[in-house]
Amino acid sequence: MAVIRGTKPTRAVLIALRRRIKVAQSGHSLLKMKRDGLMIEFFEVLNRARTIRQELVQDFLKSEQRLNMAMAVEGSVAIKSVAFALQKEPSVDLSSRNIMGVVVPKISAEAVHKKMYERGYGIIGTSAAVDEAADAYESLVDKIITAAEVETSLIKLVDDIEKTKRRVNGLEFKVIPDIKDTIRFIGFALEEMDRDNVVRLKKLKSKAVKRAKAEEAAKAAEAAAAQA
Amino acid sequence: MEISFIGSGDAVLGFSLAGVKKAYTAGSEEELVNKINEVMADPNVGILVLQQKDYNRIPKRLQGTLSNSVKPTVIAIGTEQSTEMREKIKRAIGVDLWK
Repeated sequence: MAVIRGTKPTRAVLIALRRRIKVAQSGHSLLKMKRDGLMIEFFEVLNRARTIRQELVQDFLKSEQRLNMAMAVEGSVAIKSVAFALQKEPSVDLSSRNIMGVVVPKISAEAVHKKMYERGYGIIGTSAAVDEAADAYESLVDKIITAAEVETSLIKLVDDIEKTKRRVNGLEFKVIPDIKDTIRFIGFALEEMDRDNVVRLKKLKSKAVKRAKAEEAAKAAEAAAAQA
Repeated sequence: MEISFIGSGDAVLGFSLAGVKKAYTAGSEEELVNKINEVMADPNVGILVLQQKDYNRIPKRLQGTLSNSVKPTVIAIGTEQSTEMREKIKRAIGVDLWK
């Protein structure tokens, strides 16, 4: 029995505790629902994250390979100059979304992937290897943008699931049983005090009866003496 | 908002080929940490891309800050598996769900 320390066994405390246990129980059921909701959301995101991660690794390897090819054909200086010639920068729009109190990023972006003539460097001056490398990296950036959103959401969700779980367990296994024990303890203490009181009253009553009898007897004796 | 990349020379070139202007080279660990801090402080960066092997090199404390950051969002790419996510899921759910 783990009674909350420093509680006084009075009726006022008992009433306050009864109110507290109600709050704790409703909080517990709410948090449980939140945990389950987060879990459902988590599983959805998890599946997406896993496929995206695999695709990302593949894309990464592919673009590295293409870039190496381009460097072998054109040399890194030529590629650098092509990179300087680019006009359009990939831009993203970052906002946040709220899943049951968890703030997750929501990233929207226009496609980074461009057509060859939209890139800004001349088609004739460079070889196809450069085009392929640029192409591969553009699609990699596209993937990264999606993956960034999904993975960050996943991490946030996991963190919050852990926190919520801890709270649910704390309430279920510590807070609520403690309050229950304390309520029982106060109940017992109050009953005990009641019994004490009854005994005390009985004692007082018997004393009073005795005194009244003694007085009556004394009066009767006085009356008898006066008659005589 | 823009995308930023920090990593080795080749990849920096590749990303600048895709139009990423804020692509920086970082060799030593100190350089890496400095650059990361610089980019994190930049309000115009929406996504920070790192290489997994670099991400594994930086101090644990900074790793924590990066993985909790929403603006900018940080993502590590590479062939090495990140154990961080896996461990986190294991700790929170109790089962190893990652693969």
